[in-house]
Amino acid sequence: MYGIFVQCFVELKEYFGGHGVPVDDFKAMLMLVLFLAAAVFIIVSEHDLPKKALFGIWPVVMVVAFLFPVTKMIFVKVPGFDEGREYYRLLWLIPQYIVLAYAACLILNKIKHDAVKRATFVIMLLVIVFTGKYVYTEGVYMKKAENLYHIPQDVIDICELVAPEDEEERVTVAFPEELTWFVRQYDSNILMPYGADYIEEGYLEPVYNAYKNVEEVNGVGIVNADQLIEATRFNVCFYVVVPEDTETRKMSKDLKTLGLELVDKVGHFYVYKDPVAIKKAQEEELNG
Amino acid sequence: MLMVAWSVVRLIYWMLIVPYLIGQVFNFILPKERKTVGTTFVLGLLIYFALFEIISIPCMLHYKWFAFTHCRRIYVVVTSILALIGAFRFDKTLFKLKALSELKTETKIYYGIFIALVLFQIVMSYVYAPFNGDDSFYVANSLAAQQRDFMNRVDTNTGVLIDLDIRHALAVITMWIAFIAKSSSVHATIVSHSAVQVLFIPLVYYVYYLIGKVLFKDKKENLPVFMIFVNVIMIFGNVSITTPAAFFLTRTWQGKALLCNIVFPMIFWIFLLMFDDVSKVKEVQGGFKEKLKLTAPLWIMLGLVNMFSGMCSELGIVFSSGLAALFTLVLLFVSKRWTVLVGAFMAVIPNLIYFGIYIMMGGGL
Repeated sequence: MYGIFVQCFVELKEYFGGHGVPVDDFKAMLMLVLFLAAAVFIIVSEHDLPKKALFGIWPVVMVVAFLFPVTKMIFVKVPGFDEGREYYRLLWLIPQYIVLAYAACLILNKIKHDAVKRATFVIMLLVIVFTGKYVYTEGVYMKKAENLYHIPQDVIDICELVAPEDEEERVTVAFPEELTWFVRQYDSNILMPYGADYIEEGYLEPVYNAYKNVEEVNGVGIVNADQLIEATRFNVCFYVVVPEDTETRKMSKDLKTLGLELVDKVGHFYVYKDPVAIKKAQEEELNG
Repeated sequence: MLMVAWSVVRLIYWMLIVPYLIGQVFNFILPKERKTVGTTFVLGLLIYFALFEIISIPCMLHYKWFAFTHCRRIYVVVTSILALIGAFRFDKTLFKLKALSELKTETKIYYGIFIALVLFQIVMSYVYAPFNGDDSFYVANSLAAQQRDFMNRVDTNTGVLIDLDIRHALAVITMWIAFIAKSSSVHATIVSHSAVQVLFIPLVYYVYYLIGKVLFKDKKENLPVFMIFVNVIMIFGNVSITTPAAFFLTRTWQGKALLCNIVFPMIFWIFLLMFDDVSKVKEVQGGFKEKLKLTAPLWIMLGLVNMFSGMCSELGIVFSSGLAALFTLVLLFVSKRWTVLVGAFMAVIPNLIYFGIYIMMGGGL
């Protein structure tokens, strides 16, 4: 029971931004304390019972219920809740932002002097800024948009290059992991041997394996070209996209030596056409 | 250029004008003091979504091939008829602006800051492209409907055809986005990432505004301050990837984001109004019918919100029903009217039907 409680507490802390880094943990705990204080303040100062119930009592009850091990034990048993991976969503039922904003306004109302009231308003906003994290902070998950699709331009350019014409059959194209996420958001007619779920869940798939499981030689990851092309031909990939060699990742050999034709280089990626796979597809079609 | 302009016009028509016109058809249910442009739009939008759910789920379950075309045709006919009726019922008096001069300068400044913050978030939703792995499922599904005419029957990983994945299929918000995309000839990914924000970001803040209106009905000058707080909390709410603020501003178009930022706050708003009405209902003269006129609109609205929750996420129906049930008990305690139980039951009927379909289709329990 205690173990589950600790697990729930960690989830609660993570929800508020505490991911183990001391500064983040401090901010998360501060935000959690402020939030609970706001709810308690509403309970104490609000005379209207429904408002007190919705924005004071309910949030506190929900936080306690979230930490209560039995709640988690029940949640985990309910099918469709991903074995408890979505437990944090219970916290969505707490009107956290209303509670904070409402309590802040109630406090401001208690201040008679206008200048003090304004100064308190600004200080409260600064506390929110300090305990929070700016959503538009550039990083791995937040980048400047390159186009209205909000997907990398390289993906669009490559898709335009390999996409079938209106009357043509759909093509299967092997993309490296970093592009896989976006391809089917641009063109539904491009098929792939593996997709996002394979990456997230770590499914075994030969093409993905060949891209991913590189051999380390002197700190450089070598992608086994033979293994990759064997897998792409097995999946009848008409095109194979590979990233250009870098100091940390290289192809074991030029794909042209394996019978592929270079169509173009788009950004940091080479796009190859595989006549062997195309021929295989034609033969399979002829043979029914 | 002309084609782009025509697409933008159609986007505005299908995302903003049609729901408003549908709201015009049905806003007679709203009490006079609550009948505004905003509430008319919200009511219309909820009905617009509900109709989509009613039409799209049977189409998806019944047809495999060309399911999306069937769905779209029926939806266009039904919504166009309603929009036409709504156009005839257009009420321009709703658009009369209340005198701003009544407000203190300081309050006006706060309103200005609030509006600027909302506009800032809309602009930033174009400037930045947040990466989210779930898009390769949700957005790809919208695109598959638009480009290949299948409804949730294309494997978003590989692109091959699969059986209906009932675990996700009933959350048809992705199909609604595909409908908007197809009807305006705009790529579904552009609609998801660069168009629906114009609808959803202001809508989320409008719901908070409505909540604030109830909370501060005696202290209206607090309302813009409340809204500034909510805005700043949202903008700085990306403390983890699981907060409603993070969902709201980094994946605005996904059902889960709409669930925690529109559905749940809306349930709070509706119950706030119900609590607010308790004394009014007691004072109503003329018996059950008159009382029903006052109470029914909010239960209808709750039913529509419940339907929207299922459109956003399967999980949504469980949570929205739970919230509604719990707050109904508080309402029962406060109002001492057993009829609230009837109202609540009627409002969760859509959830029960949805749940029944989910189980029948093998969703499991």
